[in-house]
Parts: sequence; structure tokens; C-alpha cells
Amino acid sequence: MTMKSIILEYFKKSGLRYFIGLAMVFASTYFAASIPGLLGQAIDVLKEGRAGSELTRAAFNIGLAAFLAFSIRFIWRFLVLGFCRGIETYCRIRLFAHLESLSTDFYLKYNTGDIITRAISDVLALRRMFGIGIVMALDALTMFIASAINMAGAAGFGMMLIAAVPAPFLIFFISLIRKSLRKRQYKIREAASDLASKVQENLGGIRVIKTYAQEYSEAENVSELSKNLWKAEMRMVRLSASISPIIKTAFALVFSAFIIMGSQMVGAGSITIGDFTAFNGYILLMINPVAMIGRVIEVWQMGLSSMQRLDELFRRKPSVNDAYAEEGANVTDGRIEVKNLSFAYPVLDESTDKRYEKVLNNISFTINPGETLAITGPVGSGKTTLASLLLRLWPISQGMISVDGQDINSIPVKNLRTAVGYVPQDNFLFSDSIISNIRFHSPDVTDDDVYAAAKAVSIHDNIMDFPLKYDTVVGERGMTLSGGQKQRVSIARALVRKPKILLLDDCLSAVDAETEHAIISGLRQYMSGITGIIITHRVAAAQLADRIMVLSDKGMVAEIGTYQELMELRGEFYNLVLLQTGEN
Amino acid sequence: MDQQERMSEYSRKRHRGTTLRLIRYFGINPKMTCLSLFLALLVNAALIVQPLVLAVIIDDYLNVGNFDLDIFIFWGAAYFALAAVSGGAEYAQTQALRYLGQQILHRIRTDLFSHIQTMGMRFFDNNSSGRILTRIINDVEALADLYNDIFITVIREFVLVIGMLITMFMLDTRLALWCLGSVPVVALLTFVYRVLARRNFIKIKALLSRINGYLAEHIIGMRIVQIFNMEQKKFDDFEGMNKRYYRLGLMEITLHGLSAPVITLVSNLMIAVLIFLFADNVLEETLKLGVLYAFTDYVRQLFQPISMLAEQLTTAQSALISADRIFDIMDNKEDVEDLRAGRELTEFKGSVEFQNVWFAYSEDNWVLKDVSFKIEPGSSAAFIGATGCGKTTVMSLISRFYTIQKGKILIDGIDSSEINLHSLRRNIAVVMQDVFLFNGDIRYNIRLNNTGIKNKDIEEAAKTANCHDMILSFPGGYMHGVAERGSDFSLGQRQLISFARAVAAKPGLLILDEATASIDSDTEKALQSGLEAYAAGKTLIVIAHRISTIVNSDIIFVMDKGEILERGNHDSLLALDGIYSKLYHMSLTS
Repeated sequence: MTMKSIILEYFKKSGLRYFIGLAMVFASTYFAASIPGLLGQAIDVLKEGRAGSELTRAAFNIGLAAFLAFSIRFIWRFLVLGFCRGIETYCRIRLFAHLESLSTDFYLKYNTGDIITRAISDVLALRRMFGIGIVMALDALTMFIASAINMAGAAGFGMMLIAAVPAPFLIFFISLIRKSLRKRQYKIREAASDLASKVQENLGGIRVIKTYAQEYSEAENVSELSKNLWKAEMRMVRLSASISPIIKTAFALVFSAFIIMGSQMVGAGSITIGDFTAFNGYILLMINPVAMIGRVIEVWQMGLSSMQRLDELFRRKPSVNDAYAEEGANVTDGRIEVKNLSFAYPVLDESTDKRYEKVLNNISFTINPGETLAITGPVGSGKTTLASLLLRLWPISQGMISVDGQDINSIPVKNLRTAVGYVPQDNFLFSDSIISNIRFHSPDVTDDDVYAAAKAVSIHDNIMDFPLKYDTVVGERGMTLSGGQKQRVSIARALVRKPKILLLDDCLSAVDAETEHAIISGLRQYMSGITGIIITHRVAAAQLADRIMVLSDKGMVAEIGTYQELMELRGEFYNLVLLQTGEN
Repeated sequence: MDQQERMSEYSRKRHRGTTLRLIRYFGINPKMTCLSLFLALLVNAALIVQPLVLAVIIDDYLNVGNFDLDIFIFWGAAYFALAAVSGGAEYAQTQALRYLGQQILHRIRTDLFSHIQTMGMRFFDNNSSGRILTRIINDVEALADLYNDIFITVIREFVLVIGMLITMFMLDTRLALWCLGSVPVVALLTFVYRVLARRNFIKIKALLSRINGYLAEHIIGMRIVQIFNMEQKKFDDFEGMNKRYYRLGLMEITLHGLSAPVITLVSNLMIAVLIFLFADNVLEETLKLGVLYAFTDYVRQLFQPISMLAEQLTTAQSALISADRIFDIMDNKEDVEDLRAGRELTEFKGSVEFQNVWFAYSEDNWVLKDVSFKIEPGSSAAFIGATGCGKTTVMSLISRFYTIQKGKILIDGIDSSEINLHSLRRNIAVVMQDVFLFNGDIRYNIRLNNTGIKNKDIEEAAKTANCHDMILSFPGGYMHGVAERGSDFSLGQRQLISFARAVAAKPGLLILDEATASIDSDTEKALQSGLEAYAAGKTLIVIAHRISTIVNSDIIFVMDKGEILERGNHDSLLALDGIYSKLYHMSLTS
């Protein structure tokens, strides 16, 4: 998908009003331009000493022309500028849809503030290009044509050509600076993105900043970025500000030449003084629209550089897709088989040739339908990576994961994710009520389902203690829940969807032992018949599982078996149990 | 009412003197302001003089039979020289004005940001980051046209209007008064337009801010949206918001389309009316035709700048609403933390005492009820209790992120509200539940902006936090890039790095709030032994759910629903046979 194709799409959809609007510009200009002529007629009537109905009609004509010019202008503006608002909205929602399709690697590469800047300010620049950019260009064009026609009529075609002598040079000059103008505009947009990214990040991490008393140095950092933006603007202005004066000066040169030549001609009697003044007047009229070109070019280059920035996003392809999907393939029983799976994160920074070490190293295991497997292991042993591969957040490079005998790549992403209930490690709640966060827009989840899930994770009573109960707004715009409360809402969100596979990533880390016990017994009921994967550091949670797998720090399977088997093995898991319970 | 709604309610207040306040910013660079004005005048002067050159030629020199080439070359050259000067002046003027405009925007932006940095946590709790971001970025940007263009246009056009009026009165008072009759009409139209446009812009900006916030939230939470297959639903939401934005945009166009064009319409109608009314006078020869004709011309020239001003009104109105939104925050003094006031903590010892502290985030919803405790310097303390019982709140209050309603908090025996905030927080390092890493490299994340921390210190700290080897295993080592929010690291890795950050800050008081929740027991154990050596002589406060990690603490507080129910060391609490011992035995039987 490219920016161009999206704009074309919109033109096909509702471009008609745009072109009708643009055509109407000529009509309104016509009526506006007719007023001086009508006025002249009225004056003539007066001059001849006539009055009465003829004069009334002349006055009425002026009024009518004025009214027509006004109404047509109003309509074309509504059509043209309305279309531009439409294109703005269309691009933004298409961008959002595109963002929804992009995978994890994209979000590691682009900062939130950067994406927002593109979605808001760059889209706005696009609107200005089609709106004010086109309207001004059209205005300039009609004015230019009108004065050229007048000039040709009054002073002859040859004279008009002389007046137009600087035009090719100016076009050459503009084409010369166009590219570097766009480059400088691009730099401005980049600087704006950097600034927004920094501010966005600062606001997200404000607590850390305050904790470490970093407010002043943060202010300095932002001031630095703001200064960069200022400098980038000035670099652009140094170039763009020259356009209009250069155009005017070029015409002045012709004008001066004409003063010299024309006055010689008047002296020689080959033209009259009247011709001389009229011609001067026309040239002056011509300069104004041509000088507007400077603004037009600025707006256009800004729009084009923004378009380029949007294009960058639109050209990104989701690294996880349904290229190998078979229609209708779905999760049926929830049997998971992992075969010789290895994985290393791709290096997103193209400038380095260094590679990440493998996080997962030749892993194989099977989980039967309805069985629960606990996964434990040290920090960085690849537990979460395994979960994200199962959810297809990253493309699998080596080895295979299959579900119900089908390669995971052959199951449409949507089907796979519908079947999996996932509780992420860093639980993220949206700015919405608790009930919406748990139901998360699944239409077939009833209120009772929500309550049941909340009870299963022992958060129901907590919620009922809030003044607004389930309607309490949480997330960034609402009440702050404690870490443990957030985790439990996040588990309820996964449970309520009655998944075939439940994937819990370290989701009890922030709850106390008592709550943990209550949740575990609640989960037990929910998990019957569901295939489960529980990633945890806690022996207590691991015991919920039928079998336990221990990953080593090299991302290999160190031990796998039932609790009993592993205890008898007296290996890493045994040590873990001792460490967590026996040491005192 | 939703906090956010209340914030936009602020901007609905009519701010007095916003324009004046914006103009006052020109004062930050008086030289450049004068220069821009001077250059603007120069450009205008050159524009006025240019036709005069022509007039001189026509009136004085241009005769049939006059071939004096030198004179014409002189005047031709003079004309060109004038044009070149005017061009040069225009170039310089644009530069000066844009420089000035950018400088002012830079000032407003940094003032606003610095002000926001000094806001207390309450402000950030109440306002989502997307909305604050919109004010710092988009609202400041909306002022650009005001400084680049509008102020200067207004001055120039206004001068033109006044000049035109004077000329008209000198020519014919009667006609001039008639023309003046249209002023109330124009004024009324402008007033109505302003009211409507204002209302519309307030809605537009509030919505834009919501769109911004929605984007921010969903870009950060996109993974969840995707995993839960919520793309369509979220798309519908976003589309709905943008459609509303589109409709408000159409309203803006409609209003704008009625502003300047209506003025042109009025001016043309005025001409028709003048001709209609004064035709008789011309016929009776009480009015010269030339004067009437000149007047129709003047009407057009009078209304041109007025319509120009009206054209700018939309942009100006939009900028003024943005300015109101900016000044809203700048004027919010009640949420500001005074970072400079108060006593410096010298030779921090690390004692913490709460005396009958009551605290609520929002009125009457008590989170802490009459909490009292004392932690001796150099000792270790632990807080346990069910989630949501107020442990994290206690930690926030030690760092004075919020103001307590009742009671007293003493740090080193000094009332904490009298201590300089920076001095207080520099002596306390907190490792939080929600780990936050910044875009940059690992070294930056440990050091932050504290240049006093050398690379050697960073590695020391990483070793203490047991993550030195982990860091070296990344392709870039300590210079390895960190993505936004550290989302390319696992939570456990992030916790270790933020541990190193706390250690590197060399605090006198270290607070660990669930800091090891996502770390495996082996790593945790290694971390603890490193920490014990490090924390010797320092005060250590730990919040934990795993009792095994806190049994050695000098004092343990058991909290429930905002109260401390039990306190003492491990043995004495076991002997008490209360909540603690129940929790302890539960952890053993797992």
C-alpha cells in the first residue's frame, strides 16, 4: 500500500465534488471580475445624464453579480475544502487500520510520539496541500490568465510575450530549489517527530523522572530538541523566503527595461502615453499572482515531504501475515506440539551487523489437549519469547510449532488468536470501565460471565468496593489500580472469552500469597478441558500444572516432567522448591 | 465528572487578555521585533514609492519627441534598484519575523514543558499523557501562524483601513458617513462569527486531543488489541472519532466561508447602494461624478483589508483557543511542586517516621488511615499485605509525591514538607512495580542525565544488580539500544536494569516496591546477596509478596485496607500467631 494509492482511492470515491468545486472557481472569479465592468456601465449611464429604471437595473446587476460571486465562492469552498477534510480523515483512519495490521517489530522501531506526529501533523500538511495549496495555485493561475488576456487584448500578443520573458527562468529556478526545499521540510517534520517522541516518553515515565529528580535535565533535553526544530525551520525559511522576492525582482527587471524602451517608443511616437501606462498597469497586475507562487511552493513541498513520511509507514508490511494460511484451519482441541524450535530476535537497527544470540535453542515438547504445562526458568531464558511465538507476534524462523496437527503458520492469525486466551506479563488496561476492559468488546460475553471470571480471580469483591463498581474507569484516564489488581483484571479478560488455550505469562507476580492461592483454585475450575501454559517463577503456581518444563539460561529445555518426577530428579526445579519454601 | 472533561471545561472559560499575553511575548527579543517592524515598513514604503517613479516619468519626462536616453536609463535603473531593495527587504523581513516567531514558540514550548515537569503526580494522575502531549506539541504549533503572519498583517491592514477612512472623510463627509454605516453590519457579522467559531474550535481542539490520546494509548497497547482480535472494534471507535472531527471541520469551513466572503459581499452591495442613492445628486450636480466614482473605488479598497482581516480571523481564533489551552496549564499553580524551596538534606541518615498519617487520592476515600511507624536509619523494613492495601501509597508518600491530609511524615526527624524536594528524592532510590526504560542505550538508562555517574560506576551498579553478564550478552553491550519503554526486553531484564539504576544513584534510602516480582529465585538470591553488601549502613524498605524475601528484615509491617495491623520482626510476628504467621505457613505449604 502506498500513499498515492490511498489518495487515488479517495479521489475515485469522492473526487467529483473536488473537481466540480475547482471548476466553480472560474465561475465565481468571472462574476467577481464582472463587477468593475458593471460599475463602468452604471457610471456611463450617469455620465450621459440618464437615470431612473436603467440606473436601478445597473445597481441591481452589481448587487446580483456580487451575490452570485459570493454564493458560488461559498459553495466551491465548501466542496473543495470539505473534500480536503475528507482526505485528511480518510488518510488518518486508513493509517490506523494499517497500524493495526503491523507486527511487533514495527513498534520496536518506531516511537509512539513519532507515529502520532505522522498521523496528526503530517496528515494535516497533506490536507493543506490539496486545500489551500491548490486554491492558491488556482487563484494565481486565474488572475494570471485574466491579466495576460487583458494585456494581449490591450497591448498585443507580442507585448504579452515580452512580459512573460522571466517566466521560464523562474520555472528553472524553482525546479532547482524544489528538491532541497523538500529535503529541508522533511528535516523539519523529523525534528517535530523527535520532539514529540521525547515529550511522549517523558510523560509516560514521569514517575521515574520525579523519583530520580531529573526534571531540570529533562527540560533541558526538550529545550535542545525544540531548538533543533527552530533551527530546521530557519534552514527552510532561508530558502523559501527567497522565492517571492526573486520572482518580484525578475519582473521588476523586465519592467525597468520596458520603462527605458517604452519611453523611447513614446518619444518616437510609435506608441501613445496611454498604451504605455496601460501596459505598465497590466504588468503590475501580473506580478501579484506570480508572487503567490512562493507560498504555493512552500505548502506543496511541505505536503510532499509529509506524504513521503506517511508513505514510509504505509510501505511497511506486517512481518506476521496469513501468506501460508489455509482457509478454515482452526484450533479444535488445543494440542500443541513444538519441534526443534529456535529463535533469535532480528536486529532492527540496520546499521549494525551484530546479531542477537539465540533466545530459544532447539526446543521440543508437546502439550496434550486439556493438559497444563508450567514453564519456569531464569530471566532471559526465553519464556515470554515462546509465548509470543505461539501467538505469532513474531515470524518463526527455525523449527515448527503446530496446533492440532497443523503448522501454526497455516492457521489464520485471527482464528489462532481467538482460540488463545493470553495474559501478558506487563498487563495493559485501556482507559475504559472495568467491565469493558474485561469484556473487551466480545459481543457474546454477558455481564454474568464477567462477574464469574472476576470471582474466579478473586477481584470481584475488590471491584464491588469501588464507588462505581464495574463502571469504574481505569487505565491512564481513570483510577490507578495496584499492580496485583491490574493483573487480575487482565486474567479475567482472558478467561471470559472461554479460550481453547490459556496462556498465562507470569501473571501472579504482583499478588500476595493468599490471593495467589485463591486465584489458583479459581483457575483450576476454569482450566478443566482447556490447554494451559503457565509461565511463572513461583513453585505454587507451577503446581497448578500437570507437567512442568524448566528452561535453561541458554534457552534449552533443562527438565520436563510432572511435579513428582522433577522432585525425584533433584535437579533445578527441586532446588527452586527448596529455595522458595525450605530455606527457613 | 470525568477528570478529562473537567480539564476541557477549563478552556471553555473565556480568558481575558490572552491576546495581550501573546503579544507580550514579542518582548523576549525587542531588537528582532523592532527590526521586523522596520523591515515591514521598508517593504511597504518601497511598494508605495515604486508607482511614484512611474508617475514622475509620465508627468515630467514623457513627451513625444523626448529621446533623452540617459534620463530614462536613470529612472529605469532607479525603479529596478527600488524593486531590488524591496525584494531584499522582504527576504530579510520574512527571515526576521520567522526567526522571531520560532523563538517565541520555542520559549512558550519550553516554558510550558518546564512548568509541566514541576507538576505533582496528582496532575499526571488526572490528565492522560496524550492530552498533555497535544498541548505541548499541537497547541503550541497552532500559534505559529499568529506570530509568523497574523500580528503583522493586522497591524498593516489596520493602518491601511485608518488611512483609507481619513481620505474618504476628506473627500466627502456625507458619502463617507454612509460608508461608515456598514461598519455596524460588519461588526455584528464578525461578532456572531467569532462566537460560533470559538465554540466550534473548542470542540475541535478537545476532539483532536482525544484522537491524539487514543492513538497514543492504542499504539502502546497495540499488541493487546491484536492478540484479542479487537482490530475492527478499535477501528470503528477511531473512525467514529475522526468522522466527528470531520463534521466539526465542515462546520469550520462553513463558518469560514461565511466570514471573509460576506464582507466582500457587503462591500459590493455598498457600491450598488451608493450608486442608487447618489445618482440623483450627480444629476442635480450637487455631487461630482468623479467623487462618486472615486468612492466606489475607495469602498473596495477600504473593504479589502477588512476582508483580509476577516480571512485571518479563523486562524487567529483557532490560535487563541490553543493559547487558552496552553495558559490553562501554565496558570495551574495549585498542582505545582516547589522543587527549589525547602531545606537541603545534608548528611542524610535515612530515618523515616509516619505520625498518624491519613491520606486519600480523592476526597474521603481514605487509602491510609492513621498510619504510624518508624524506621531507624540503616535498618531494613518490609511491608506486606494484600494487593491494594496501600503499601505502594506509603512509598509514594515517603518520596512526597502527594500531600497528606492529616498527620506528619518525618525524614531524618525533619517534617518532610519542609525538605527540598530534589534533595529528598536524590537521597531515595525507588525500584518500582512498573519498570520504565527510556529510549536510548542501557548506559543512559542506568545513568539517566546524571553526569556524575561514570561508566565505571555503571558497571559496578550492574554487577551489584546481577545484570552485568546479561548486558554484555546483548550485541551492543552497555551501548545496546533500548526501544521505547524498554519493550524489547523481558520484564525480568527490565527489572534488573532498573535495579542497577537505583544502585547507581547511590541513595541513602533504597525502596524496592515489588522489584523482584518477575525475577527467578536464583537470580533474586544472587541479587539479594549483592544488595546486602551494598545496602550495609543504608536504610532499605521492601515491599514483597514472597515472604522468603523479607524474613530477615529488622522490622516487618503487615498492612490491610490502609492500616498497619501487625509489626515486629519475623520471630516476634510468628509468636504473635496472627496474619503474618498465617501467610508464612501458607507459603511453606505450597
